[in-house]
Amino acid sequence: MSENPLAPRSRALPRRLNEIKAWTRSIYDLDDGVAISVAEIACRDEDCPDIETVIGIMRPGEQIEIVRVHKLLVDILFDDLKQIAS
Amino acid sequence: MPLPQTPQTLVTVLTGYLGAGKTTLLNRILSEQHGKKYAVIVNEFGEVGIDNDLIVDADEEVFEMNNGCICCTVRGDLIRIIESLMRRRDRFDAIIIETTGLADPAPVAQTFFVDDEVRQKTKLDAIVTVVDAKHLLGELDQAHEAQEQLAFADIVILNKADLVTPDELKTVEGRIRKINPTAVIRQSTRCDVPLDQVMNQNAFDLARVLEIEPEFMDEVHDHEHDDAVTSFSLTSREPLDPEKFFPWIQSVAQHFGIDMLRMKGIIALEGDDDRYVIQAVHMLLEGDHQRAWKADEARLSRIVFIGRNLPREIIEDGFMKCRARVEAVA
Repeated sequence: MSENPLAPRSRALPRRLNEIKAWTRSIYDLDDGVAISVAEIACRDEDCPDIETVIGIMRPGEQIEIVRVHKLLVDILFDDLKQIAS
Repeated sequence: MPLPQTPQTLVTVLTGYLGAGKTTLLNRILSEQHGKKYAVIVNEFGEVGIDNDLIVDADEEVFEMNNGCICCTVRGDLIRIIESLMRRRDRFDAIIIETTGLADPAPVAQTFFVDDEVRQKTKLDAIVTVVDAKHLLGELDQAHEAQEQLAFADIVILNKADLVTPDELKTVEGRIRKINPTAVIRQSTRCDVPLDQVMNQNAFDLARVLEIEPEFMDEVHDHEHDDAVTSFSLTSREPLDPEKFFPWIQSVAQHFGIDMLRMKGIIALEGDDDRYVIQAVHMLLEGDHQRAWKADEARLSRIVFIGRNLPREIIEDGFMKCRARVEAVA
């Protein structure tokens, strides 16, 4: 069997996702009414970075605030988010 | 294939032009006795009579995650709504999203592949496009949205079939096939198609990519209309060299992904006894080894591109160069 460079991305670990969402809520002081989108993007567009994690802060009635972390989702630390926010 | 973690909630996207019969189909799905409860995400639910206690209004909020890159553009409203619905997931079995006739289906579909929580908790089951047999040809001539809704469809409900003659119906079906040769077409009157042919289709599962006879696809050679969205299929009886094929298909996605609405293929790779299946929505590309080729099965590679003005000659030339043993040109 040949290698598979196009293997479907495995589903994100729920614990990691929840952790990143909880950190985002804590750092940006967000309540439960604010939805948070987390997406690890490996874009094929030449103008896009190879891999990054995009966090969308979706406050009701407001434009989505985007936080970009140039790391894999699994590698993100609380301090990465804290530093971006400061 | 990744191992399942928790059961994913299936999501069906219903699209189609105003008046095609989307609401009729939706009401049938919601009212028939099938023992399932659906959460419904609609546009302007106040304007249609839908009897359901779990209905949410969508506002088509486009979320560009990556500076306008089309494959990283999703629907923010769907992410918000699905996050909220998932807190009440014990109240429904599946989700239906009804989009307006003018909505771009790509960000809707991409939401289910890009946002990690949506991807983890839900699974896009199928894009169902309802079309009006009497008016479709005129709509296709006038609006690119109508072409794109067909291009993205896994299932086309060719509704109001009773309002046209059998010959007209054949013409309409031929035009649909020219745009999308891989969709399943179901003729209907007042959307009276059996619901088990619409729901639980698993159309985005790689295991079901291109469940269509290649001969049927080869019949699609209609050049009467000049649709911007069209399709073509490429085949090779020679196995493809994985060292050439993978870089080539990634390059196609990179260079032509904006115009490549959907792509599906089954590939015979040199030195590999398994069928390799591949699919794409714009630049979002995924593939996997499927079952082994059967002993009596021709190891035919076939790939179908559906897109806007895709450069067939360039793509075909690249595909042919992926053959492991390129035949000598006479």
